[in-house]
Amino acid sequence: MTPLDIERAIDEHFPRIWRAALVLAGSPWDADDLAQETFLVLARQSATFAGRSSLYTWLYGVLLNLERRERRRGGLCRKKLRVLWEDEPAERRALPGANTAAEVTEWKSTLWSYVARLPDGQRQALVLRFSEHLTYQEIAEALGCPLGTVKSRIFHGLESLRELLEAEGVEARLVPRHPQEDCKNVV
Amino acid sequence: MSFEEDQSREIAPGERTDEALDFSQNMAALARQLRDEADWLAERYPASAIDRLAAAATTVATTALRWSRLKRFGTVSGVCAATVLVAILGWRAVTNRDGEVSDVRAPVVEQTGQVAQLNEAGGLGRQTGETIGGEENVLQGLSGAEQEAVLDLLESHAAHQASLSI
Repeated sequence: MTPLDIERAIDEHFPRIWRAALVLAGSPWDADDLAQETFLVLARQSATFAGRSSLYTWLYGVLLNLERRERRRGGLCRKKLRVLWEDEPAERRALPGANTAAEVTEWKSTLWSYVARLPDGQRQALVLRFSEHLTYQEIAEALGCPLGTVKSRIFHGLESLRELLEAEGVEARLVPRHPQEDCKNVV
Repeated sequence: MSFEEDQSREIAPGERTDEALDFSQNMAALARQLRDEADWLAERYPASAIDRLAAAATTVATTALRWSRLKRFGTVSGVCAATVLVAILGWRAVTNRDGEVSDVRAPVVEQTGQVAQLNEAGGLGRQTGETIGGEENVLQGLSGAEQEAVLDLLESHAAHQASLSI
C-alpha cells in the first residue's frame, strides 16, 4: 500500500473508526489516540493486510486489539493504585472528580458505559453491530471468529446488558433522542 | 443510562428488528437505544485531526516503505553473499579432495610400478607387470586401430594363460 493509498484510506475510513473508538473509549481524546494509532498501524504494517477482507473490517480488528491492550494497561494501573490507596475510604474514591470532563460524563450517561463493563467479546460485538451497523459476516471478519460465535456474543451481550441495567435500577432517560434537542437545552 | 422500558411498546409483536437474530421485544428496544445513543455521541463529537493524521501516516508509510525496501535489499544481498560463500567453500572442499585423491593415487602408482619391477625381477606374474607397466609404453605412438589390435592381443594372451593354469 503506497502513501497515497493510506491517505485515501484515512479519508474514507477515519470517521467510522473514530466513532467506534469514541463509543469504546468514552472520551474524545482517547478516541483520537486510538483512531490515530489504528491508522499508524495501517501505515506501518500495510503489507500485512492481505486483502482477504474489507479494509475497514481489518481496521476495526486493529482498533479492537489496540483498545483491548489499553484497557489491560489501564486495569493494571488501577489495580496498583487500589493497592496503594488501600486505606482510603471507598465512598471518596467512588465520587467523580471535579475535573471530570463533560464529554466523559455524557458518555457515562449512555448505555455504552454499561456495555463497557461487559466481557471483551460481547462488548466488541455489540459495538460493531449497534454502533457501526456492520453485518454479522463483517463482524466475524473483524473479530476473526465464526458467524455463530458473533450471533451468540451479540445475543448474550444484550442479555447481560439487560441484567446489568435491571440490577442497577431503571432511571430516567438522560440522553435525548435527537441531538438538536440537546443543543437547545444546553443554551 | 438505564434501559428505557417504554420503548418496547413501540415495537409491534412479532416484529423482526434484526436480520438474523430473533430478539425479544425488550432486547430489540435495547438494541435500538444503543444505536440511537451511538449516533447521538457521534454527532455530538465528530471526528477531527484527520489532516494531521494524514500527514503523519504518510510520513510513517513512506518510512515504512523505505525500510521494507532496505530490508528486502538486505535480505537479497545476504542471500547472494551466502550463496557465493557456500559456492567458494564448496569449490575449495572439492579442490582439496582432488589434491588428496591425487596425493593418494601417486603412491599407488609408485607402488604399482614397484610391484611390476618386483614381478619382472622375480619372473613371477610377468604378464601383470607387462600389462601395468608395459601397456602404456606399447600403446604410445600407435593409431586407434593399432591400439585396439594390441589390446585384443593382450586379452587373448591373458585368456590363453588362464586356460593353461587350469
